[in-house]
Amino acid sequence: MTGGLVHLGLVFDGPEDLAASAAPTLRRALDGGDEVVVAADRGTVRNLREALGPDAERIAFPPPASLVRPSEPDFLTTVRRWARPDRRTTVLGQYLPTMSARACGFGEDALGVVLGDLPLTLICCCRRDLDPELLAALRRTHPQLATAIGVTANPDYRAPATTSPTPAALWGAVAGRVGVHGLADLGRLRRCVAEVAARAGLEGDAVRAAVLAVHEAAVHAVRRGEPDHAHLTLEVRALPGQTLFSELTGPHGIPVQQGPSGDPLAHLRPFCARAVVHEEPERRAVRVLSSV
Amino acid sequence: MTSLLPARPDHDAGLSHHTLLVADAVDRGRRGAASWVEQELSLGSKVYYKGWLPEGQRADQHWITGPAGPRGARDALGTGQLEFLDFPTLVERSGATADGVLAVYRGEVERALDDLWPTVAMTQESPELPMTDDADLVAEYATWEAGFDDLTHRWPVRMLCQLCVASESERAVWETVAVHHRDLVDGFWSATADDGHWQPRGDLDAHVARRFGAAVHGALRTARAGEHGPDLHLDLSGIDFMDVACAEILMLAARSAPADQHVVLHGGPRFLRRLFDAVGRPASVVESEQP
Repeated sequence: MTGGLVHLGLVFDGPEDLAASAAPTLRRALDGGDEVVVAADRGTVRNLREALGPDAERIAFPPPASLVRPSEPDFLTTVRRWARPDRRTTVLGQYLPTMSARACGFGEDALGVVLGDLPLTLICCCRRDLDPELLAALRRTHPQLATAIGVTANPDYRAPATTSPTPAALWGAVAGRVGVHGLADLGRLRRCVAEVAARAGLEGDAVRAAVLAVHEAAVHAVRRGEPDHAHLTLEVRALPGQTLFSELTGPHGIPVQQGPSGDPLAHLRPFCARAVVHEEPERRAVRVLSSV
Repeated sequence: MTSLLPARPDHDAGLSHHTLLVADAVDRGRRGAASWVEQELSLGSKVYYKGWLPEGQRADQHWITGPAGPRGARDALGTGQLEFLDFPTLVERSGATADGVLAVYRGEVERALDDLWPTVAMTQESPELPMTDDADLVAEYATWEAGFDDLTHRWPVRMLCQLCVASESERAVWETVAVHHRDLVDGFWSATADDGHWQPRGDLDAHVARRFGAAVHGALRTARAGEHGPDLHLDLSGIDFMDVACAEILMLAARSAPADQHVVLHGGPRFLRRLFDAVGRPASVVESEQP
């Protein structure tokens, strides 16, 4: 496997079931030369060793509790360190019964937004008899599932909603907030982004790219019946030296036409690390991530 | 990166010039015009103001002499430093032809200079010309605007043409901006032309993209006929921000130009080239060989 983050959920009933569902993905990772880490209970490790045979010797099996959980504050920082420049890393971890479903959901959502470009395959496993809210969080936050027949699409996956509180600990506190009124007012928005970007450590063309990407996101957000009268709110968060996260929220309007590529944000992607649009009944939000 | 101060051309008040002032709404246009007239009055210019006068009102009831107008305008109207002419009277005197309009303006300039005014300032409100279906009127308009250029070249005349986008048809806005591409101020962006180089400045974004496109077409059209032509020499050094919409319009205009016409880029940040490449840069957009 090559490319960015592959974020898989896995729902299991017991060690045998977990090993059977994980084995196809792990075997493929080993065949592809990935570094593979499995932090699972002893029963699962035993079953995986049997399923994978001698290849299992190439897997690291740290204690299950040693792996950072999505609900922990330094989750993203730790996950970022797993990535290697020259090869893909595959990590399997299990949800613990003590995890907060709410915090877990934040962490899992954040993975896709913040670390979507890293060469990682993450297999997040939740036992079916754990807290139903925890199980629901796993089903909602993983685009694909690892199963005994391989990777399948997850029909329960939902992209992070605008109503989800942004986990400030992940992207820092709000460093800049500005309300703008229509296309004629976007200069103030650009200045806000430029100021926060400079404070976060972006320089020169990186600042220009961040400003342009957020501006284009704003144009996208107001592209509706009356673009000169739409009110937009911009919030910019920054992790100095790491990332700049901008979220534009505006009224939901006429659905925008897809570009020639089918991606309405294709024109701004060359200027940011990641961009996502969220359509909801009452509003539209565009999130843009820039890297330092 | 971006400035909240409206873009302004670097005019020395002592020089003649012919400028277009673009405003989205009537009140913004009035603020800009009032500021300009106030400056001209303070510089001691003879000021000719042409505009719309509500039916039944006198010149001293026009907004330019009221609280929203420039300081000193009412007194200047009384002393003769400021003269007001309403558009219906101008049409009556000029016959709405280029020759007629220029004759009126020329007469005013000569009269002011005969009266020993050192400079002449002339401005007119957005004319609301019905250009949409009248190609002849468009041609007449272009001719009298060229005549205005001639006035400013021959005499110490400063001319401010006002364009209120809300009052004009799309065609009129397009033609007006295209004709004035060499000297215009439009909110946060402006453009000037000097020594064969056309220089847009400030923030170019989706809000003004159509007007920027009109100015680009005007610049290309003029370059084809000019002594430095047919290539358009585009100075990018004054651009603070350009978005995808404006970059696309610029590249499309270059692509649709005649085969022998190039857009030659001068100065400006490397990032703009990256933007042009991202939206599709045609072979006719080339870099200047000058350092």
